[in-house]
Amino acid sequence: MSIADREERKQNLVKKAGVTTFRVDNPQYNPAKPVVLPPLIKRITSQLPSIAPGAPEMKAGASFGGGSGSGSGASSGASSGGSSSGGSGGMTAAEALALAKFNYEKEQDAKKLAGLSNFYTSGQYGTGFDKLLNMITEQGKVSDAAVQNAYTSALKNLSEGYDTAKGLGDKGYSALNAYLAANPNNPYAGMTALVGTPADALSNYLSAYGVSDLPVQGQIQADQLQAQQGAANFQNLINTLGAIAQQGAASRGAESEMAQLLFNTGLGQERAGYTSQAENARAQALAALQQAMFQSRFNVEQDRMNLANQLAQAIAAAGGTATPPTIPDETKKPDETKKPDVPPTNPNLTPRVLAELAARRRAEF
Amino acid sequence: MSYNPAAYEARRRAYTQQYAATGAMNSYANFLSQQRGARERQNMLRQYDEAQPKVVSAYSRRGMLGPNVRSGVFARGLQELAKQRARNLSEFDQGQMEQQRAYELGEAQRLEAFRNQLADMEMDKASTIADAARQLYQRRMGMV
Repeated sequence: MSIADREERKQNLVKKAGVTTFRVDNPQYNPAKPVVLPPLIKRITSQLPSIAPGAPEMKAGASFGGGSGSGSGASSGASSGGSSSGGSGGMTAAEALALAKFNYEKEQDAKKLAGLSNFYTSGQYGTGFDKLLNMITEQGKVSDAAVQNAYTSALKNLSEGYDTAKGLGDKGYSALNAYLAANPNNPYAGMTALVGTPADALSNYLSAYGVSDLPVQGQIQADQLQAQQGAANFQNLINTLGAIAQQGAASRGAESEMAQLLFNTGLGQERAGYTSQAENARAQALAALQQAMFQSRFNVEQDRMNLANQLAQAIAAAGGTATPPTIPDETKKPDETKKPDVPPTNPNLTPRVLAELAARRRAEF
Repeated sequence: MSYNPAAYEARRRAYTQQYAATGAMNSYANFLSQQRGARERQNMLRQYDEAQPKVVSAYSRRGMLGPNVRSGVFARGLQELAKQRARNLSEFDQGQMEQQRAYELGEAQRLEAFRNQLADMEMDKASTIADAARQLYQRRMGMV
């Protein structure tokens, strides 16, 4: 409240009380003879019984005009008092009342201003914001731990799933290899092309008639030779077919080995892909978390600054001087600021001291 | 592709049953062939056994054979008979042997095919198991 406002308010109060100006320059004023204004006193006391004669406050010897208290009752109390009353000399009761009311309100305003200034200067207004920031920090830690746990769980699941799938696939190929080893597919291995028994040359029969069997033996040998050539050709065919079968079996074994290698490689690639996805998901989650935390902290700091500005404006409007509190540096990392984000408070600046300081400041107006 | 052991066992039984049935049929056919061959051979031998005295008596009636008579024509005729018999028997036996070889070769090839069927099925099964394992892994990872 400015000085002009206070003066205007003071004049309004005096006018409202219906007090006519009674000053020393009044020609009716005689310092030696106190002026008694019974109607006015009666009017005032009727409106304000607390200051009526006989009231507790008045029994204490208080007199209008702030006199020395030499008199008692309305006649002495309503006197203009001594000239040494200091600033209230010549003040009427209404003026005294208005002044007392003014002083009371002024004191209340001073207390409000002091409290407001203390609330602002000490940084107490930021306590709630600090709690919010701490909550955000703690929640960030919890969320970060949750993300890390999810990532660790995903990796564990990846590893276990990989081991299970690899074990299953390896078991299948192991069964195949065992089957191929136990069942070599070469049915020609034991085959041999035999030559048939040569025919009987009827040697005994021929010799019984004195006929030589040499031409017959020659015929039999020729047939036998032809049979042996046929058997050799058949043996070659068997050997060829056996070699082809062996090659087929070897090719099948290599195919099985290659299929198993391809399976393991593909499975490993899938695991690598899944691991990469889990890492990306973790990075995205952490980035989102960091963004959310920053946004939350930004909002809290914004609200804090808005409130600080409102407080400063209110203090300035009340005639005070807003001493900005120490604003915590939010750009620093939490581990760099060991102390909480509360502006330091001088322990000597108690509310009472601050009120006195505010009162002195107002007295300077 | 899901792995169904029962389906593979059914395929195995089908392959085996087919192989065994065909083998039994071929074996019986081979037995009949051998039996028929042996009978034909016996018939051939019997015919030659029956023909030999007739040939000798024929040369004897024509005076080419008798006491103190050894005709060269008779000797060549008898040798020719023996050669013909030996050649026919040899050809018949060779035919029978080639038929037996064909049967054995066919059975070997059939066995090879049967084993290839089983091996292919085992490879298919292993591949199916590997695919199933991979799909299980993908499902576990929530990618399917």
